[in-house]
Amino acid sequence: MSTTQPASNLCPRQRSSHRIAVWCGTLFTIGLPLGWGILASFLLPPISPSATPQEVAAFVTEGGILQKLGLMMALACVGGLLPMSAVLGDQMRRMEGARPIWAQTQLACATLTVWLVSAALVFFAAAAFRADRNPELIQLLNDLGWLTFITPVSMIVFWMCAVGAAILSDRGEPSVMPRWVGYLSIWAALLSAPGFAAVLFHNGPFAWSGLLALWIPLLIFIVWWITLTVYLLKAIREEAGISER
Amino acid sequence: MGERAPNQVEAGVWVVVLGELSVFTLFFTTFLYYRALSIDLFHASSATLSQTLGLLNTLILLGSSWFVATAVNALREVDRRRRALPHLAGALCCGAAFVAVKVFEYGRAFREGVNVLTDEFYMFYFMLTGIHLLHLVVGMALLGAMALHLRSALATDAEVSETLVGFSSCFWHMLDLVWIILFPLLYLLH
Repeated sequence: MSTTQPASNLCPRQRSSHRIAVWCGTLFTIGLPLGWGILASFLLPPISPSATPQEVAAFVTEGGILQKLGLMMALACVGGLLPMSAVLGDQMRRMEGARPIWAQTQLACATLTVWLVSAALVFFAAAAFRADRNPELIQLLNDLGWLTFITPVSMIVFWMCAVGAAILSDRGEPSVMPRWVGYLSIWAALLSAPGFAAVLFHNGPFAWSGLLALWIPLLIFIVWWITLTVYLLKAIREEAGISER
Repeated sequence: MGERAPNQVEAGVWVVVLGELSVFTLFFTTFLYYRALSIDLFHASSATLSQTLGLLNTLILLGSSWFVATAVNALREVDRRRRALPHLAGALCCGAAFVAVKVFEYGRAFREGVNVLTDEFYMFYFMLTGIHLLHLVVGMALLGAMALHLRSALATDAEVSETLVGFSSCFWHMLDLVWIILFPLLYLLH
């Protein structure tokens, strides 16, 4: 074991807590697309930014109780991101050593992501809460929901870059995570960035319902999260193995 | 420079550059898909762009790539290292000239009442060239960092970081490559 890595002290009891915390992240990655995307049908397909107020109002009215249940499910699941990002931060501290700035950035970004996704879901819930109100107001809430969900990509980009930077700066032997996960994080940040342009467009790939602003970032986030889950569980296993030696 | 080959850079540099290229390929594919859906509109709007300015920027970027390549070449031998600095300055001037031409081009479009919301062609034109321009500014910052690093390395007779040199130069050549694909796609296809 190299001297750059701090001595491990993950006892079996802590190992179980860390494992449970990692699996909490799955709540977010499955609960959000399932509840918001499928049950509440916001992804089946996403409503276009160019839809008229009447079309948006019809979407919310037709959604009925299932839409509200889907939004509730998504709202209940988003917090799962927090325990997992705590474990991620803990492992990033092992990569970075004594003064872990990227680990702290990571935790702040994860917290803000939970906050913003919750805010977006509350806007959609407010639209569904009184579906019989003036269609233009429903459209306003729908706009607020989508723009809150899609456009604040800044902290996602910094989040992914922070994780990438920590993994690539790891000089320990063996490293906590493979270097390709670091490169994947930076690549994911690049692919997530175009969402900011959704403020401009009512149509096309950069609009909130488009390929480059919605589908690719959503897909790459899920890929990134699955990869992190697998390698966090592996890192916990290996760390526990080291401490038992 | 020790036992390592002069142009050997960490494999990760290529991973990042290929990752960038894959993202731009995704943008180009999306452009071609939307172009195929409304080909007449794309032809008509593309014809309004100035091919002269586009060609000028292509030549400027090719010139900058030559400067970067000769700078890296000069770094291979310790006693020629000093010559890399003016070449890097030349590359930075080319970068600044590219930005100036682009700003002039955007300004002219805005004065003619054309912007990112005018039609689908202009959406791609402004978004793709804008994202490329953003990358170019990052590339200039990297070349600037390389020049500053080289200057302090010359002053203290220290070794030059191969990762910084490798990454900055590969990144710059990638920007050139992306523009060489962007130029015909946006300016010439009509």
